[in-house]
Amino acid sequence: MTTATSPPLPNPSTATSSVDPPSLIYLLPEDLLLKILTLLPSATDPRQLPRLSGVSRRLRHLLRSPLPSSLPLPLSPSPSVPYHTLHKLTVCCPGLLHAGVLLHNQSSDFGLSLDIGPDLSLPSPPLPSLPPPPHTNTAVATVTSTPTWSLFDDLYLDSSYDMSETQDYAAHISDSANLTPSETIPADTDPVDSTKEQLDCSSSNQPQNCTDTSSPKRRKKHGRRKRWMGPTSSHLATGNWSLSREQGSKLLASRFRGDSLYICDWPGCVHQEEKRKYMLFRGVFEDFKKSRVWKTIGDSKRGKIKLNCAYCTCNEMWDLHSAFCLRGFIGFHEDGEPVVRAFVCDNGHVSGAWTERPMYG
Amino acid sequence: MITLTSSDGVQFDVREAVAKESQIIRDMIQDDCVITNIPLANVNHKILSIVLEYCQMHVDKTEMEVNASKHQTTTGEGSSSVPVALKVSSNKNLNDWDKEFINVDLDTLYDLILAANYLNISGLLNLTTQAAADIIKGKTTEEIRATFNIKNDFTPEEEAAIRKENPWAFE
Repeated sequence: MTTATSPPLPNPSTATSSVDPPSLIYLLPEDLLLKILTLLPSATDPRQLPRLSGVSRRLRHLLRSPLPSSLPLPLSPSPSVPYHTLHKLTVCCPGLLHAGVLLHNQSSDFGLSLDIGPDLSLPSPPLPSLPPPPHTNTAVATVTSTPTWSLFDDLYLDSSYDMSETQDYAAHISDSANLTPSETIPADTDPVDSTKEQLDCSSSNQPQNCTDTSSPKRRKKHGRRKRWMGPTSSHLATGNWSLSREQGSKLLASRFRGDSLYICDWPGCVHQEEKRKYMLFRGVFEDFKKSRVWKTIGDSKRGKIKLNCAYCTCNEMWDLHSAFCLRGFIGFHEDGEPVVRAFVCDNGHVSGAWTERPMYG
Repeated sequence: MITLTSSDGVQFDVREAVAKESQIIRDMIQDDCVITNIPLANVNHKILSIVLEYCQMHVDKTEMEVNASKHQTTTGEGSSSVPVALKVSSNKNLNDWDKEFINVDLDTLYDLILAANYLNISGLLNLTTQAAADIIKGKTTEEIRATFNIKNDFTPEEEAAIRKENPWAFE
């Protein structure tokens, strides 16, 4: 097998091998190929399956297809759960955003997040702040350099420094929309844009960036990095990557002890924020539609909020706290923030956050 | 003795116990006890000889263990730790042998996976698929493509989107 060791370099030998048919292993029937893929130690190296699904269309299709029931997995969800979703759940922290932490923090450092949170689902406004790169070749590099960026992050980070500007969401949108064309025109030739630049800079308390008006995009990126406080979107979780039912039953009220909720091991992915520490968890219900929790939230007809699930396309989630599905002793902090919050989407994916319990007396 | 005929017409005479390592042959023999010659349309002689080598080795090892434990029981009051130790060491030997056995090139490995699946030899199927997984293990997207000579059939936009999905996996 010469192809087994040949590096992907543009020399004559690989040029000829690139027209060779792929290795026969790759052409195995799907069931056998899947058997091989499930033998990969994905728990010790979670990058393995995402990397595999980036190899080719066939592997991607294979990994995104519904789970064959014969596969040995830590839990056996309903057959409609695609393998990649389950895999993402085990290793991927939902982030402050999807765990609903930003939604509830009206009084704290997150400021206006309550106002702008739900707007996340609007597809059109966020686009102007991230213009597509001119060359498709650079697309990968650009994407990987700012992997989890969104307008929301932008607003959220701005908000922690300047409330006044971001209180008016619409104004900010038009602001960032106006910034985009200035990329092609040097900012100092455009009086309107340069004032905006200065406004922006002064609001973010970083006047040293104002000198770099010739490249607004770079300045903006630089400013972001300086104010970076931690990923708010989903990201590779720190801590243990296994899910267990014991953790899930600690979360739910005792009358739901028949439900199978798998939650990541304590303390999950820890986010130290200005005010308090958030221990973000993620999990999944087995057979969610047959669970008592599902019946309860379906009956109560309330507690549904606009929040995107980090693991599927659902854009509404149920607040388990206000549906009284969480344990009774879990209360509130002095400022009204719940000690534990948890949200579940229609597909049974759970995102939430523990905080340290307040010390009374 | 049972005669197995490969797809290219080569005949292999093996003991019934060896042939019965294959679930499919085991079923055939049970269904029709006078059967002595089994044609295997999907396995050529090169692969069949490797498969039979595996079956032979595993049957021999199992029989050795059975004999050893029988010996222990018939001689009576032997210390119970002896057969256990014997079994452990023989398992270790067998694992080492398996490891050496599966050290083949990719094309042979492919044939062995197909043959093990066709003949339904669970031990060999586990061994071969695990070997294939070990080859993939720890490799980046590009390394996997290079190893298996897989063409990247994504458009640049699609590839960027895939990397954006799980950026941490591609760092």
